[in-house]
Amino acid sequence: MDKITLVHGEGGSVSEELIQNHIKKQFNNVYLKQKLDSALIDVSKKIAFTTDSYVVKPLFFSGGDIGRLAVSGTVNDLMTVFSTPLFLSCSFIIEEGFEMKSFNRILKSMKETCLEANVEIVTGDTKVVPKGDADGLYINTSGIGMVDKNHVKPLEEGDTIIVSGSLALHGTVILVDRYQLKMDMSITSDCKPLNYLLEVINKYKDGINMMRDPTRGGLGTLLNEISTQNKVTIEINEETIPFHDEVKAVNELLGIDPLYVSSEGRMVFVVKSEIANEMVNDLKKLEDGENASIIGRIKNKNRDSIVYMNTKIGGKRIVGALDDLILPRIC
Amino acid sequence: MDEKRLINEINQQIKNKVNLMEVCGTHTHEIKRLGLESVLSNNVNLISGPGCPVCVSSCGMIDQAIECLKDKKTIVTFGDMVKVKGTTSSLKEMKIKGYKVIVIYSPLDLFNIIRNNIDEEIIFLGVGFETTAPVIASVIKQMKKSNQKNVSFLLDIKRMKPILIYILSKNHKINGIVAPGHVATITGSEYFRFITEDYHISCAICGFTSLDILSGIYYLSKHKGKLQFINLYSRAVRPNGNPLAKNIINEVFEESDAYWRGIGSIKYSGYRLNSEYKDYDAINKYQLNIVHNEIDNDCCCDKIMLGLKKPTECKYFRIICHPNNPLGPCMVSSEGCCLAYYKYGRKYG
Ligand code: SF4
Repeated sequence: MDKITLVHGEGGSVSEELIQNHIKKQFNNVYLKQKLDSALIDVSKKIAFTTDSYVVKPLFFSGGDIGRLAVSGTVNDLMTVFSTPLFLSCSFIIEEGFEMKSFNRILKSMKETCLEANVEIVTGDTKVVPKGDADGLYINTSGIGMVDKNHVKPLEEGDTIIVSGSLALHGTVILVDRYQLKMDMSITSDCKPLNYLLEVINKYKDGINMMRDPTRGGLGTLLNEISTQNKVTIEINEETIPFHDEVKAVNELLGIDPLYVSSEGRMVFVVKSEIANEMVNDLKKLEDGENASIIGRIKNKNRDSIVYMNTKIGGKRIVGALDDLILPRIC
Repeated sequence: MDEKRLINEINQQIKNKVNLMEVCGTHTHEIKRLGLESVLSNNVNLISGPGCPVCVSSCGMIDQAIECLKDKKTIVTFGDMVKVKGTTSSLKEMKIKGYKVIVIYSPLDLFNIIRNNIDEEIIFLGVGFETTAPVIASVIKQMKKSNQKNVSFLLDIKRMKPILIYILSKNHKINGIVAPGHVATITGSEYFRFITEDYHISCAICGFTSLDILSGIYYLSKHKGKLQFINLYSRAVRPNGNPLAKNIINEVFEESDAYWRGIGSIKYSGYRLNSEYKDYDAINKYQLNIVHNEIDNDCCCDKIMLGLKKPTECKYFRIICHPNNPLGPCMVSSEGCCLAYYKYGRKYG
């Protein structure tokens, strides 16, 4: 069959065929071979556990697809609490009539991203809904990671804020598609699992007080969350925030502030100032890390929970939390 | 000169207060985003003007669009417009209730929408100034040419000059105008010369980078007392503007009275479709009756757009009125003055 139909979700032989010949064929591993309703896993340590749902449109974008995003997103959330990602679950909600070819392409991409991230999909589910009740395909993934020791520490005055690379690429690629901007672009989504940072993270883990990934809502939203949750004032410097020229151009055209546009393969670190320079140098040596940069600092503690920016002309302004949907301007 | 030197120069040369109005919402946002006021002398008083098309859109238009939705028609419009309140509701609230509202980025997207919704009556709710008018006009022209039947236009397009005349005759504190570069790209720089010639106020036409805006402020504050008219955006603005764009405006539209939210009706301050295109005018096609109601609250957007008040002087600002509960369109639109003050303008550090 070249399209997914309601029968594929009914639980009969056609469902079984979809699971065996398509899904399990890609994700094959000992846990799936258990053929149980739940995967049995030995865990002896503290675990990190997270979940996320992915409803991105378009399903395929320059630099990735919903499958790669669904694996990376959950892996990256596990990493922010200093855990090593190990196992994922994966649930599909598919609209009747979805192309089997596209589904297989997504499965393959998930498989490849799992290999890259060193994780395995050990349990899952598939539902098919009538045409019109969903938009193509949605994915939910949950993940478990192993925690050595909880390294998230309180933030201190003077702590330095680092980003691992150029920001807002993913969100910008999606914007270009959503608003059908006809532009010749070289940028692709940054969507990827962040395991490649582990080496640097392990080297500096005693000096890293916090790690967060600037996904939905971008850097601006993330810094506001950090500021409010930790009751700190954050100062950032406009000139040091790495945005690709094309990211700036697209967002300027749309009247959108790239500070609020998502990255799907970047990490924001809050670190002790002593290690900041050395750590950035190490990040820069990683593939795609050449734009890693120190962007600001924790200005004071227990005063106002605000984020402000020193602008490129030497002015100061607030970087507020996002209040509504991001919409492009008119003229 | 770079930005920092310009700032120094401005601060050194300016000894008395100058009131400069930036007419365009994009300028206001850029000024706030750069934190310009935090580095400029207190003697530079920057006042925002009425150049945000969403902010000045008539409430009656939104009300009519809502009536059309109830009448099973599809409304297509720009992102910011869905959030603006009419007298009872907004398009966003109607969309949540299941009515068909489609948000587009460019009027050109209309072609696809019409193709994909062939059985529906589609109404494009469009706002804008001279900047947006040519694109909308050319879309309408093409619609007529290809004889599209299922589309019409509910337009609230404004002209910049009549509102400037209105402001300059009401607000006598203004010493200089930072004129909008993108309107001038279409109309030409000469369009703004009346500011200096008739009203004896200096005027600089500016682009939208930090350097453009600072140059404008530098220029207007430097020559205080001596009248100046200058086009600082000559890389995009010619004296007579863009003839193609002006032609298409004249081909499709005619000047008409327009209603400015909070301000009222101003003679010949807008464009409407001319008789040749009346089949594409939703008001004509569906016999709509636009009643220019005002929302009954104390929002003082009108005073803000005329430069008589700053958002921070509004008693609702930030307390009751914020982007999630906008009382007036100035808090809605991404070009709106109250939103700019809300987003960028608190104390820091
Ligand atoms: S703050 Fe709100 S109520 Fe006050 S003028 Fe602005 S939009 Fe109107």
